[in-house]
Amino acid sequence: MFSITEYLTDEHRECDELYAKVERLVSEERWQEAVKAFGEFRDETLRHFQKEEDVLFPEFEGRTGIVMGPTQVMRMEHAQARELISRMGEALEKKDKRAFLSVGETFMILIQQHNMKEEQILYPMCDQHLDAPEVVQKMEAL
Amino acid sequence: MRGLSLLQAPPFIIVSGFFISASLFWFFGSLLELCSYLKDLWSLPLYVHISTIGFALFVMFGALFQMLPVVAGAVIKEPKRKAIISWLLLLLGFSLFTTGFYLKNYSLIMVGSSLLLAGVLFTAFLFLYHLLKLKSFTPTSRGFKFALAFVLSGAVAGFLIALSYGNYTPYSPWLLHLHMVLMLFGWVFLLIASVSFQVVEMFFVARPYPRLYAMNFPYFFTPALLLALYDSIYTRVPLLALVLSHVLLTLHRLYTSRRGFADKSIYFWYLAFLNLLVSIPFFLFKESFLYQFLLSFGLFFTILITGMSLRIISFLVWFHLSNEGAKQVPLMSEVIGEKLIKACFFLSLLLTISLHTLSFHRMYLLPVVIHIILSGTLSLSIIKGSLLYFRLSPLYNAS
Ligand SMILES: [Fe+2]
Ligand SMILES: [Fe+2]
Repeated sequence: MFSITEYLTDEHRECDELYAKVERLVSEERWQEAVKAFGEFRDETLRHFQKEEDVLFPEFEGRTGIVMGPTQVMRMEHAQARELISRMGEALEKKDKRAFLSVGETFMILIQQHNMKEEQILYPMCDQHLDAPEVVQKMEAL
Repeated sequence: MRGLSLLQAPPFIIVSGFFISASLFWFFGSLLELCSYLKDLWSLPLYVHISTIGFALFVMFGALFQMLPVVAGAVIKEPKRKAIISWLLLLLGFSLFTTGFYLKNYSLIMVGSSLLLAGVLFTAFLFLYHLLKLKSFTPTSRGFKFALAFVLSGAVAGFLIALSYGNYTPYSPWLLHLHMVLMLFGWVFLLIASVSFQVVEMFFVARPYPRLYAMNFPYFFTPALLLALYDSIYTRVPLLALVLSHVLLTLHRLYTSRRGFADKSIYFWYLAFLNLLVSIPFFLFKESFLYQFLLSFGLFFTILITGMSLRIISFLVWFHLSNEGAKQVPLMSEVIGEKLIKACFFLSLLLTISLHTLSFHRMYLLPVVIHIILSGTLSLSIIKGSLLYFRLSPLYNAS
């Protein structure tokens, strides 16, 4: 059975791979394939956010009593990421390569520094305080 | 909401303050290089410290104020006040220190190095104090602890050298070797290597470094470094073998990065690590190639820092403005444009080529001129980007 850290870190890397694929297709202006790949990337990323917001963060807050701490910062960064993802979608519709890559660049740095915080700080704390197999199962079930 | 995000991200002014000073020191330092070249005032310690302290140390300390909460979860309370103390000590120390070397005035060198020592001790202990309380889950935060311990001891060694200039302590060439190895390998290289373990995999979507290798890197590295403190060609081999392994792993990861060249900072990483590769044989035979070693190793970290600081500033401007709910939030490419980034890269490439070809003939005028243009362009980019933040931030503009 996975630890929470392993399970969610793997998802981070998967989302990165999916993003890299969209980015490559957009820079080669293969729009049709890019739209499809973007859909996969967006769905995967949003699902990951949902697992955290609907399962992990409430479990963490309930167990530790820390409500206005790291989880709140993470939620805020998810909101920022969602906004950038929807701007990427708009750029893709307009086949605007420059705009897409430019939003994507900012998104990528935002999400990586976000992931770093989760992987170094939040996930290990969750593994420490929560029943990992149970939480992973709940996230899987979403 | 605003207070919350600041809980984790220290105010922008800390990073921008350190970065602006760093790039300006590098720029004014390059002008000083030109003056001393034209007047035939050769001073190796002056040239070396313009890049190592004036540029690298300022950027690295500034970046650590930002990175400690992100990569290690170490939150420094009241970061502004502490950063100002650190910045002032280093700023005064560095200015007096370089002026002292330029004018060959011993008292200035002495006061300057005392202040520098105080600045390094204060800052490195501050970081270590926060880091040591936490368990490291990533190679990056573990590597930081070791690198900070080395910069502390390297600074003490440097101070002892300054004392020996005034005959307060006996001078020994070994002390210089100790200072150089601790600072360049123990501090600069180890810090960059520790950052690379996460940055390369995550930002470039590349293969991770082997987990055991990355997590235990400081444990292999420290004995090799200590061995190399005994100054002989053989004792350098283990240290250089580790550096080589890291260079090859990094270049391979950059080459197989899933993002290709989409992130422009990858060009800086390539160029920097190629320079590091070149510096390895020069250090092995440093008895004959000390200048070549210093030049190529200097190119390694200055180019990497140039590329990274352009990214960090433009991201932080976006990030803080977005957190603060500013009306206008420019994307990274709107903070520092692609043209400036390309110019910085092109100039770094020219600097590399000119130094590697001309330094053997002791022809330094052209590299110095390129250095002036590069550091000027970098300063312009960082200042322009930072000003944009202060113009748009609601914290600085009461509406
Ligand atoms: Fe998250
Ligand atoms: Fe996550």
